Amino acid sequence: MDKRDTCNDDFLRSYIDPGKIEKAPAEFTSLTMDRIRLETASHKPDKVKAGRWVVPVLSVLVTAALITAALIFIPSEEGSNLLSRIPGLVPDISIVLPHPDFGFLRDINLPGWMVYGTACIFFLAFFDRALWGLFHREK
Amino acid sequence: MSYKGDIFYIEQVLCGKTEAYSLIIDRHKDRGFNLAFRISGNREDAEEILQDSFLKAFNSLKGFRMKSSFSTWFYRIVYNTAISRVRSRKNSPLSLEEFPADYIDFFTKGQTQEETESEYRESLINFALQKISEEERALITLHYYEDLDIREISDITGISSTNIKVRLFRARQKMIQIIAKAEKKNLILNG
Repeated sequence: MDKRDTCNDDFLRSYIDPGKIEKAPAEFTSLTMDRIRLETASHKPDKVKAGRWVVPVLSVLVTAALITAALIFIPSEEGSNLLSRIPGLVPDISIVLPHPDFGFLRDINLPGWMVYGTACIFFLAFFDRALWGLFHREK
Repeated sequence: MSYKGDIFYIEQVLCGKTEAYSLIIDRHKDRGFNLAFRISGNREDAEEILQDSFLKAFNSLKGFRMKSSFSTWFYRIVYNTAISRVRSRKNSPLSLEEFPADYIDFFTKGQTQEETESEYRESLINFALQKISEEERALITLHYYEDLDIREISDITGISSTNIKVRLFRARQKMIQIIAKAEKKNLILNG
């Protein structure tokens, strides 16, 4: 600060009283807190949203109960109910699971550069993700 | 109850005790309001700016680095909010004729000579502040009212220290010219 600027500074300080600051209104804190509570509450999931699964779940339960009741209580032609006839409707199924042969995997002969290439791709992907995280951090 | 420090209450807020934030507001509202008021030039805008700033700060508390100063961080939010609000408002600057220059008007409230002079100077400063740019207003407020050093002002405004010195120099010169003109006009009016 040169001499002239120091004079300007002194002159301005003679006009400005640092103790005389404009103060916030008395009810400012409570008003701001009300606004914060309101905005915080609006971001929370409300009861209507939380209960949006109630109707479909109830609907599924009622449907299932009706089907079960029908199977148990509606009599079939032979005097028994529908439920007892279900096993007769299902044919005997004998499933034979295939036995896959993975022996061919041992016969694969990859060139050496491919291993290094794959490792390099993984490394670059990791590096890219780290950089993205660094520069797209939420402010 | 003694204030336990910003970090203590911030941690409480982050733990879900939202009410602890009211103590932070109480602590910083007056300084924040003063900055917002000096930049915007009226109390209604200042109140809105400050409320928005506290809300922004509340929503960003998770991102606040506990090692840094809350007041600097919060001032930065107030500064940015106020500057963008004033820029979007784009009011025409006051002319010198709009200054309530009649010194005698300040005597009508039954105050002492000292109080009257203080009030007169305060209104003169507010008038001069409205005649300079919003950025210069902020620099003058932070430097003279908040008594912050150049480095702290740089942290808040994001302007380099060298640039702040230059801008403060210019702002000072402008303010003095405006005050001198207003005083001269007042002298002519009141003999």
